[in-house]
Amino acid sequence: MTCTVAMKPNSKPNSKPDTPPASVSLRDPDRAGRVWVSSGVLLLLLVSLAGSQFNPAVLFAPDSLSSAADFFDTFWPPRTDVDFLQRLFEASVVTVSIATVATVLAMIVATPLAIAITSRLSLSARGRAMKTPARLARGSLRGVLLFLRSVPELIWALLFVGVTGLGATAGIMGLLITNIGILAKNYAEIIESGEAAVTGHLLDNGNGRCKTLLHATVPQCLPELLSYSIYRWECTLRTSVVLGFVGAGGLGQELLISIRQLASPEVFSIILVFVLLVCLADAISNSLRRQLRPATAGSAAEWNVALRAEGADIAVHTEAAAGNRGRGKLRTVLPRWGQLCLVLVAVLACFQAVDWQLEQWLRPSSFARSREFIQGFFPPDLSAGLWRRLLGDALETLSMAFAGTALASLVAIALSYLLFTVNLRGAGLFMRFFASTLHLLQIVLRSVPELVWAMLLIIVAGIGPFTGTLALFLASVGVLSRLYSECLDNQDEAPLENLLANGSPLALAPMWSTLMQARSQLISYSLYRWEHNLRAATLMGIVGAGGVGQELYLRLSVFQFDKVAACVVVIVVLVALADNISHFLRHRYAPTV
Amino acid sequence: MTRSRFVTAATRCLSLCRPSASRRRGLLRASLLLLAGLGIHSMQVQADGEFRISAIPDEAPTELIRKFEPLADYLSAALEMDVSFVPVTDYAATVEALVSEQIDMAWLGGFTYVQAAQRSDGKVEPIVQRAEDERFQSVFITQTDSPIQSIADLKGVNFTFGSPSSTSGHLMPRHYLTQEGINVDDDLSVAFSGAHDATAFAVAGGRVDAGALNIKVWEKLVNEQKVDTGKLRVFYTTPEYHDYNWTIRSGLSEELRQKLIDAFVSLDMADPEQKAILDLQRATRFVPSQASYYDGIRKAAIEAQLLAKP
Repeated sequence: MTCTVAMKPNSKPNSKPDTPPASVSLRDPDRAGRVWVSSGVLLLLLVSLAGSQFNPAVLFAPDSLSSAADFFDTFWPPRTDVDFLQRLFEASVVTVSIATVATVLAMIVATPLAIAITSRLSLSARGRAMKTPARLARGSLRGVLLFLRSVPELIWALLFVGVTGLGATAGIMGLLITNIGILAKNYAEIIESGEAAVTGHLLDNGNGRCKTLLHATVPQCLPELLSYSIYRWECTLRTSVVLGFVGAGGLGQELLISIRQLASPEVFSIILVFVLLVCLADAISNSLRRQLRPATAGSAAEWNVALRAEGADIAVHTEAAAGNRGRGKLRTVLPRWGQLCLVLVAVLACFQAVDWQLEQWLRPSSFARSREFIQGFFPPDLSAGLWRRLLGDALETLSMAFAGTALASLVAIALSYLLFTVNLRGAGLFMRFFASTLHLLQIVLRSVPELVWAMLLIIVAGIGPFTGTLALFLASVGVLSRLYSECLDNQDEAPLENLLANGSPLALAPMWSTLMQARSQLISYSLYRWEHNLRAATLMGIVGAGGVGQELYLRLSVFQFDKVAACVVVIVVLVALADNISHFLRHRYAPTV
Repeated sequence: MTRSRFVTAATRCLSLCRPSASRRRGLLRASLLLLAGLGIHSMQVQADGEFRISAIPDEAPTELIRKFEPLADYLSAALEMDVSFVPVTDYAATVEALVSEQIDMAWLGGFTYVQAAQRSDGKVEPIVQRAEDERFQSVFITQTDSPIQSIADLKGVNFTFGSPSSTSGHLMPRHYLTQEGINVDDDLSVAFSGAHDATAFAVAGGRVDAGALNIKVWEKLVNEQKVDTGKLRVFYTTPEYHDYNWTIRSGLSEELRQKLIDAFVSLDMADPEQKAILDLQRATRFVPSQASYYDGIRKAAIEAQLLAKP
């Protein structure tokens, strides 16, 4: 998506060459290719804008403005009476507990799965191609994990409502299942990014796989594994808001109820509390992870970029910082015992705080019901009418994700470029104010989940895919502008200084130097964000904001699980497709990261 | 009461392994013994004497609590046991809660009752409904200056229903649209606003061209001047059909069932306290209901392909 942005400066001087020196050809050797790519992306953007019914005029229609004014007029002051705050505190405890329990359980389940799918420990793969049965087994397990993580948390949770009824456990199961899929995949990736030699030698010398695992493979990347798990906890916390839909309790449910009642002071208070909670989790997770800095910088790079594009607040690990920590010094990188105990106590407290609804699970009818439930999905509905609609919805979902990401990339590049040139000029009081406002805005935009943005925007922009696109756009601007800024700041300054020394104008010089240097990283961030947005776009329909979620929610509501299964198939295909396209493009066009 | 619970539970458990008919009895006995331990818990729930009621969230949650808590107090006195109102945020979840016996009685719409009946194999039972629910209707609304005058004009427009599980906000409007020759999936661009009042606001805001909602909610919105009748007009009103009722879960004792029916039917407008309860329910009186009233809705749901395969 950023192609358009990054390419523009290149095509400009070619079309309007002003006083070119005779000896130097200003012709860009890649010009033809870039023009093709840029116009292709532009065309795609136009198509997806049309597909997502993009129409900003709606926002300024007098009716929309008045209904928005009714809602947002009373936003300030937020509701702060003691009763309400106490309710919010209790809800926050529930939210944190649910997120913690789901993450810890997922870690426990994901570990053996990750070990099972990694090719590192394959005996048959030593020195030759892996045997077919082993490859098949690993491949199908990977497929199952892909399925687990492609279906959004909320959908798993809605499915579990059918088994356990309303309550926290349905929410936990939803978060747990998706987390297992994500954690196992990433654990395996982290294990494989570690150095192969040590594990290989041990295996070749006849050591058992168990021994090898415990003595070489795991110690090598334990800090990264833990670091990633902690980050996942933070993500789970953010996602848990959407579980208000299944009556899982917590802040999400409070927010849902308040938005439905259009009680804006309450909505504002809850969003404030939520943003604070997310920031707090950020801080805790950062301080824990700082002590677990990955042993090798290179191996961590790829998944770090992915996390950051999803909204993680991770400091950039420079080669130098990581290089200071030798491999194998496990003891120095593990947190201190005291801290470990503290974390353990906190986790146990969370397990204690959750309402486990044991009587629901143990109820004999639950077993029969779950069986009935699972049977209901097979075979998925294959009727032409449904699939025709689903195809349309799928295209709408793709449009929303693409339009939202592309527009956010454009705005984010403009913002971060502005900030960068302003910083070059030296920060005046006004500009420092501008920068800190922008930073605050970024935090808010990125802490609030897309689905919540969509629920708020429906009040202004109404029902339809345009609202979903706007929601994806807002959250993405928050994440991308920050990433872009950081990325621009981290580039080598020599080319820029050269240009400036030779008299290039301050406002234009970074365009030819810093921006060019950073472009593949920028593209990479946008692609990751697109992947993330596609997942989020599949849910938008649940609140009426367009995409395949609407059909899904309708069929779940009327208990037609064979049709639900068809929707889930579409979602899984979309997510898997996005994963692969993004992976391919990143490696083909943005190989630096 | 507890015994019938056991039997239900055991039968359900049995369906898990689909034993041959000859083994069924033995297995049933074994399961009964096995389940005795688990049953203690449900007996305790009963012994606590708490009767839990809920309702589909067709209005804002605070409104529901305001509406149902006085009724819960009244029932509590009539049944001589604690009655609590459990707020639920999702239509389908209300149905699931009733079918899985997490709640004892629920205020359901016609469509949600049909779903609950199907999902419980006909074990839930509608006991009473408001006199008004025997002749329920939906209205179709559009903007005053819109060219839409009749259902035939709806082809190609943006149309919003309420919640997908709603009888008067989705199923019956869809049914009558089909009867008037509109193919809802192909001729309309459909959205779900989530609730009746949300539909009215969405049409008033011009974000959709037209919408369908519960006539009672429409009248309330007009009377309380929450919508501007200068901006909105009704262009179609559906024929009458049976809607809401109070449905009880399976396995309640006959005595309790009768007490409940009596309590509802004896609510009287002449008594000021009881009038307040009836007013909150927007009812003049409650009358006994029965499953066959909802055959029409079941048929409509099957025709609209909105009912799971049996």
